[in-house]
Amino acid sequence: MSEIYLDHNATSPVLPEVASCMAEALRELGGNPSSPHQAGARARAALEVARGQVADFLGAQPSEVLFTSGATESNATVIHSAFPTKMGAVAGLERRHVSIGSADHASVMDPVLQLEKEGLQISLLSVDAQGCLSGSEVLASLRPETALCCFLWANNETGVVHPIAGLAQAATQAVTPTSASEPPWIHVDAVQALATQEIDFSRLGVDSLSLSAHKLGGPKGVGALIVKEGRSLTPLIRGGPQERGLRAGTENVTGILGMGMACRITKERRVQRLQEWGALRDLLWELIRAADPTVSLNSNLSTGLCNTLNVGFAELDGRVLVEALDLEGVCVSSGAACSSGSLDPSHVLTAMGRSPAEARSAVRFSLGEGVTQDQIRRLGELLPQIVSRVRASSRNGTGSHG
Amino acid sequence: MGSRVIVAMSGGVDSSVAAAMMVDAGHEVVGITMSLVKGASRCCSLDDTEDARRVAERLGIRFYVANYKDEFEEEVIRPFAASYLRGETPIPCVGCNSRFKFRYLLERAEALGADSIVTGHFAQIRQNEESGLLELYRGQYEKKDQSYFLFELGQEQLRRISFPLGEMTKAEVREHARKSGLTTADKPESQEICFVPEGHYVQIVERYFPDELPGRGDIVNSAGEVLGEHRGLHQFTVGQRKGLGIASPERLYVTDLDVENNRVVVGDAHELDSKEAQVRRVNWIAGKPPEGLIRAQVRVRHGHAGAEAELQIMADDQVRVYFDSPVRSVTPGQAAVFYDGDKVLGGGWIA
Repeated sequence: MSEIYLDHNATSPVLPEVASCMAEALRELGGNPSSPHQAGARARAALEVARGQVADFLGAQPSEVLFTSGATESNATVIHSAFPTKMGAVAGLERRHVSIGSADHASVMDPVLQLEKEGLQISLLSVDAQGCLSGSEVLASLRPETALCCFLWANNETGVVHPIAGLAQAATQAVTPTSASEPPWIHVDAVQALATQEIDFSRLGVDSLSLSAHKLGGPKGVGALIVKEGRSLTPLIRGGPQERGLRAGTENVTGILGMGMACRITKERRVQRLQEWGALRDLLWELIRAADPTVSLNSNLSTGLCNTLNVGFAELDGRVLVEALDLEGVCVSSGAACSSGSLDPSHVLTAMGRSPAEARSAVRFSLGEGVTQDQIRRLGELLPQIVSRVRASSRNGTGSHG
Repeated sequence: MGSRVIVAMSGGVDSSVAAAMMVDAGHEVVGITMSLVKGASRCCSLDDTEDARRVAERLGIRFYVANYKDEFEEEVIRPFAASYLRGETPIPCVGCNSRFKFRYLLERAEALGADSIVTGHFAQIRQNEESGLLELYRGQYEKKDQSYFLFELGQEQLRRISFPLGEMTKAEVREHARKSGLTTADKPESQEICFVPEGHYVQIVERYFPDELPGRGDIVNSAGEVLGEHRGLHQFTVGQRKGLGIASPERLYVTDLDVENNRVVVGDAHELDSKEAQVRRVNWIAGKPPEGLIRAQVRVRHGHAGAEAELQIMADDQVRVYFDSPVRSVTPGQAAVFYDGDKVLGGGWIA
């Protein structure tokens, strides 16, 4: 029986069109984009076409697109640019405050928490039971020393979507800079929003935006940072003139072309997806609820991502359910893929007020290209038996020494 | 395809071969590495997990890492440390087996729809044709026998366990690994207690019970004469000879740890001898104690060959052992395991 892949929020398998485009690039584009000869020029031209595709997809200018290895690097670049530490001197910066969400991704949280040791002041914004930031708390956290404010557009674990334009507008107007001449840098990590949300960078009101190609059917290991003109970046990687000297290293031409193609396709299909994936997601929820009335919902079906369904299965360990489903050919996740080896319950769910046990009972189903109604129905048939088996095993210890 | 089985894969050669044998036998094999110890440790380290993963890839089987670090800390490491504060010398490998491999992992197997779990232990399970009961036997090759660590198993567990290496020698296991192309074929043996770095158990006691450490006290002989001073009872174990800090013409050993009076008692080798032992929390493999007078060979630690003895059943889970001739270093905290030849009758904890 074929595999049912419902882990598109971890990564969405490469689209066939992207694979062909990359295969062709590997065959045909052998030159270095920085070389002056024909082979180099061809690679350069292809790179710029891809830059145009990414810009077009996001409503940005090509000049605002900086290619990186992915959103983790993009986020790190923004944080590094807002707090250009020299020998642990954050404490000496005039503007040394940052606001981030408590359910943000580790690629924002970890570097910021690291800088806290060097004197960075952090406001960790709470989220409500739905996983939403409160606009008023965001505003209250901002002050003249705030150099950076990070938002996660859509949460990878729960699919909660933030009204970024509204938050950004409020944040920009909230602070009347005193000694500093400009309002805080507003950054948005859009990785999980890319596949389904309408994104128009030019009207979003943020200063920068991160993306990763692999969440929209592009290759892994490539992404971009979109930066408004006027915000200057401090490179993380030096040693070459590539990307206007802001990101040294010979460009990942093949990967970037794949990303360009993935952006193009996503733009074409986005509206259609909203309906298709949403319907499948709703069907899945219906089947799950019918199979097990005790389940709880960690996603918002009306305002959240149309492809994401995070479900709490009472009294079982979500990680074990993930394994049990895997053995039947169903790929799902118990949280963010990068933290699935971790012992701690999801920080996203606990930030939403779920107890550790509730958070550990969560399983995320995330849909994407290629998921069919037939697959969802098959899963619906499989689930009751597997859920009850997993639940029974955790209720009855089998050992003789209780 | 045969039934689905779970193999507990440590990343070592034994469990690798156990997995390979189950694949050869046509089972749908799922490998699981239990991640037990927080931080860096030789046991369940990332390297070992990666070794296990590589073997699973080579064998073409599913592989998962099961995280039981919190449970292991509470149910194995902390009691291990506490045991020293009571003047005992603990052996955590028994509980690790009965609670982790053969309880939590069995639960996992059930959840994953597997019939049984398989480990690389050198021990054997056989069914008694008359009684229908399952019996636990030493590994065929005595040198590698691990039955001492398995005495807490019960019938329910044995029914769902299999030990494919029970009749093999270590050399045969390594040979099998080489033939199967497993990278773990020449991996060295793990010997000491996996979560105790270099045998430095004192650090673990001090880390878990910083406020309950015994202070300085006297080192005395059996007559009560003070011979010196110690800096904490938990730094000594019964049978210890080195590091006493006492000059003496004859060899002195720790013969007793007197927790009540915070005294280390030392004496000559003969004072380590016991003619009997109290054994508590006894488990019988058959589910209940045998009837009548019981002759058995009793092993009082893993390295002990066994001593002839008579067992007196005081209660279902309490036994008094009378050795035929004195046995050296019968140490509280260690396990006493009762054998009838190669068969494990049961065992318990020396008081």
